[in-house]
Amino acid sequence: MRGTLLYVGQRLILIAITTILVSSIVFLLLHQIPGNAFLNETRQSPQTLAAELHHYGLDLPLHTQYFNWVQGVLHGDLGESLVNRGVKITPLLIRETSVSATVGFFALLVTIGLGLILGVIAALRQNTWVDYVASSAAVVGYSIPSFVLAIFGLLIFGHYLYDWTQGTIYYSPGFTSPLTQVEVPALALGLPYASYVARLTRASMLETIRTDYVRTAWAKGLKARVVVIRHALRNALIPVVTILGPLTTGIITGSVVIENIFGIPGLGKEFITSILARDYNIVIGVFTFYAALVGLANLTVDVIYPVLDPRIRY
Amino acid sequence: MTRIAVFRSLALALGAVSMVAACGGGGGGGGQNLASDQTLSFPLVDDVGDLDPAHMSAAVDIDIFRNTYSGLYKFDDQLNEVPDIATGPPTISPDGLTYTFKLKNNVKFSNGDPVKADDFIFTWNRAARIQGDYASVFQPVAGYDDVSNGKAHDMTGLKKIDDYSFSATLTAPAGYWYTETALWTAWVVDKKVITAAGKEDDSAWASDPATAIGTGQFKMTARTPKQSIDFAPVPNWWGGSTGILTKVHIEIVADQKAQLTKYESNGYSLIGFANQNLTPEDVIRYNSDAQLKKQLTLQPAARTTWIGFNFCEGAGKPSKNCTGANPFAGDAGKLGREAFSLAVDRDQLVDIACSKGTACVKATGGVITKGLKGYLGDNTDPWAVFDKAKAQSLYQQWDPSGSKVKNLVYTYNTSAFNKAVCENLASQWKQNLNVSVQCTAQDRASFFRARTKCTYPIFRHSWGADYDHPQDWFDFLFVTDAGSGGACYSNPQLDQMATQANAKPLSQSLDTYKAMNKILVDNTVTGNLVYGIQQYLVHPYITGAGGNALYDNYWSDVKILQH
Amino acid sequence: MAQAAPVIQPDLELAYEMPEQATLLTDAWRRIRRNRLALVGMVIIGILFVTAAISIVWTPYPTWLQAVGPTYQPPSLGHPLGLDQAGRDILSRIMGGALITVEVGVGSAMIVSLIGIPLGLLAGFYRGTVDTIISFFINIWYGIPDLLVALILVFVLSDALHLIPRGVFVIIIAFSLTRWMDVARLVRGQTLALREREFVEAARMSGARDFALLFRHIFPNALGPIIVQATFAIPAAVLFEAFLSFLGLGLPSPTPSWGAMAADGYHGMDFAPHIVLAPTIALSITLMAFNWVGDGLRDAFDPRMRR
Repeated sequence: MRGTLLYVGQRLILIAITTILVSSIVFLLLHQIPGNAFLNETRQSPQTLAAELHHYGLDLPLHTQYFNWVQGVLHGDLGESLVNRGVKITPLLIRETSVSATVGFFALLVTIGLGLILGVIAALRQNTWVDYVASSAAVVGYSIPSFVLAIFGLLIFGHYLYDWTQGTIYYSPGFTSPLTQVEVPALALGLPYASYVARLTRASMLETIRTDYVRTAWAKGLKARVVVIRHALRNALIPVVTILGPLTTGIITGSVVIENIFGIPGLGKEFITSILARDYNIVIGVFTFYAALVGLANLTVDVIYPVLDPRIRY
Repeated sequence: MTRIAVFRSLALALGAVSMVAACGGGGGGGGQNLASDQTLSFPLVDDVGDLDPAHMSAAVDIDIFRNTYSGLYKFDDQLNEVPDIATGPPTISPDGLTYTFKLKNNVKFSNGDPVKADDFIFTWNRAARIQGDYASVFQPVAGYDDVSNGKAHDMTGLKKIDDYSFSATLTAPAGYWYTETALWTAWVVDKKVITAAGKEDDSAWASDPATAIGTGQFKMTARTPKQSIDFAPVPNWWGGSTGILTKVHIEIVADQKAQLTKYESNGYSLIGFANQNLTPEDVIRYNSDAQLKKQLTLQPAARTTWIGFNFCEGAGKPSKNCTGANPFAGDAGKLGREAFSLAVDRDQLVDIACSKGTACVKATGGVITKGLKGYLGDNTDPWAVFDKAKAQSLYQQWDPSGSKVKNLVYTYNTSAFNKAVCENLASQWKQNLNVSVQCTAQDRASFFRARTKCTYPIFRHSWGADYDHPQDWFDFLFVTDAGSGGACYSNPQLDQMATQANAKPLSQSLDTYKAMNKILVDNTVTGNLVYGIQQYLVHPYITGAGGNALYDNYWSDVKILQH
Repeated sequence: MAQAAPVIQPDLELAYEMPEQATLLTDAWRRIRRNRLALVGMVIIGILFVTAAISIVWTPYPTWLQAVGPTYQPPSLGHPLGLDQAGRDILSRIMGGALITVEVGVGSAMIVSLIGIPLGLLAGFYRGTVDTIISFFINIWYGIPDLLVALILVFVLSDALHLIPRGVFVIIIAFSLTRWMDVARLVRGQTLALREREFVEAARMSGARDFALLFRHIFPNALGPIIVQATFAIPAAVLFEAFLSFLGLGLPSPTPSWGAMAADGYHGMDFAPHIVLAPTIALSITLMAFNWVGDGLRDAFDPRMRR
């Protein structure tokens, strides 16, 4: 137990360092850019520009700005939006993260749930038409880009099935009807990765099922078969957990487009809006959040792993 | 099975709930059949940027906060300037330099504080110090330069006469200044509240409903950044009635499809307030259906879009910003400008880029938008017509070898509309002149910066009038070294006419301004394309919504009927 | 792979028996011929390349010409895929998009291999400091959504610093700069395993120099997985470009990229679904085809995997 705590502690520090490192890269990248977010169509005098720059501390030398920023990050303060004056970034991003996390969580459920089911079915009915269909469906699944799936989802549920869904698939502040509003985007987000999970599950289950003692147990009848499946599933979960890290990364990437399509005000949507509006402070803030999120996801994976596979020890 | 069933039942339940909520059942006042729930709700694509009147510049912000702040004057629905807090137009001294303003003596802020001359003087000095985008509204006032440079705290030209009157002395006569006093930078703010909330030049007070105090009919009651803003009428408003609405709820929903879906299920009263618009497909769909069309209001908006040509003839000539020569510049480039303008079939442009004429219409009367003062009249611009043969012959005369238009790039700031316009222009130029022009999008900030430095040979330009006075166009776009010109156009004759006209009141200077407009047309300084249209999608049970060329109607005009 | 991280990689990093070089390709070809999906995929890819080639010289209508007919017109005899929101012929633009797809896909696969293969070889062969440095770079990206970094790169290089104009080139660069690690990691693993093999020992003892060892002995034996990896890089790059174009950060208009066409048609989905369906279906079929072929190639090169 102490060992695990120590390990987690070490990893958290590592995550913090990586987060700051990555965000610093983005910070420096964006601060190289001449020009700023402040120009307006109508009138702007040099004094106006100077006043704006001073307010945001952009007239300070780069290393001072960087130092101030790092200090801010360590205190949890990511600064102020360049476009929406007075809006503090940290509470904004926290709110948006919770929105993204809701969708992401459901997407993860779709991925793992659907993936496991498909993989198990395919494995149990290996080399039959069921297997063939499921495996092909898997390939189709991860070939179609998530934004294409989203478009199809919108077309089907938002347009052709409008009488049933009554447009409830679109987001409302506070997710007033969470099930319907999250379902379609979660599907679009999770489906491509469900295919990966399905393939992994199938391969892993096949490996387990083919061993002699399992075949013997299988032959013993229904009750034994259930035990066998449970055992096989547990083993199948291990490779799935392995990919949870890249899975989270993939869902984060996918959420950028999905949130834009469904109008969900999460981190992904904020990322694009801020880049297009040149609100660099927010872009850097979003990246910081992402880096931290991915780090935490990977840490969670590494902590869960030994629970599933007792052979692993740190 | 289960999933769809869940969908369905949830949807039905939701539909039922929203119907009840939106309609608010029977009851309502007397013979007008008012709904019992008088909440106006509408969406915005982006959150408001600046809430402090001294900083405000975007139409979104201005249209919303006109309802919470007010000043000496305002514009009525016909864009006439009328007194608001002032008792009447200012008394102007014979030399045109001193303006005396008298205030009504019953004006109060939404927290009950009385409004006095001190508050106006404080507000105007503060705006000059803060140097927001429209601080230049006070530029004619004596002492402005020192305040804007940070050398002085207050403008020497503002003097208090008594609690309810004060005077402003200008450095030179400016016929347009009376109009400018009606702008948002001049809206009065509460000195007591601001200084209590923090430093007097800070803006945090404006984002907090508790301290965002103004003299308007409504006040902000709640704000969640990038999500929603709520307003309620000011009880016992000094000006009398605040209308029928009991609440205004604004949501920020970036996806226009989501907005429309919610509107169609009665989740929103209207779409279009605060300079919002619809997607081309949605507005076409509504406009082509006899029933749906009744919900669509198309109001001419005070905005013109044109092809900008670069007038730099060499480094430093004619403007200090010029770095080199441009093919479209001066007399040598006149044929090119004419050819490029004649080669555009504006009917096709309007059909494609203006969603079949619902987002904009042909600009045939000069650069000042139809409906504003200074407009030349329909079909008075001979270069805003389509004449393929003439365009081709002019082009051949101007550039027989094709060297002048090699690698020509038309730059615009990123927006769906600008993209559609550029793509159509490029297609027509290629089709009609066999000239390949590349369309390049730039983000807003770097586009404006580069354009101000006259970097682009040919570019998108557009101007939305700040107020109904031609000075707003010429002083910022067409005089030598104009701040927002982008073309580095310089015409000494025009500059002289501008100086003369600016000094006189509009009744005497309008003809001069029109003559200036004609000079621009005759020389094809701009390739005028379209005039803007503001779209409003309003449910039939909402009355009083809509707007004039520059602004939306005040919320106090809006009523919600039973439905 | 089609989507973000290369999930299936762990399999391939194990060292496994490789058939001798002389029959590697013919052996693989024999196997893949039996894989029906892969064959279908190859046919589709063939059609893609042919369409792309044809579009260079001819399309029914110019891809940029607007107002060919009424805007939003649904498919008809004269325009089998209909017209888009600006009255342009969609079939012509799909053909033009095929060319973009090929450029972006093949270009990225080439550049990403050009960077990743040498670096992977060096890291795996020399180990030590070289390996540490290269592995550091490989691992730093492991936790980052690389697509988003590539997005920022495109933005910074094109819009902000104006170093490279918006176009296919900057997309290839941004993609390659963030994805070479996958290739490098794979090649490094292969090299680590192969360098211990007897034939390498034999070659070394007969006096072959490092360079020859790397490129004449090790590299050809790692070819199988490299080809598979490159094949999977193509749909990943195409997806990246479509993703960028859909968000408005991709190729300049009116380039008929399928992603941009999907973005154009997306708002009119209820009104005129044909505009968004054509490019999304084309994109999906193309990506599927590449994945089928990639899967087929992987199975073909790996004698252990039997179905």
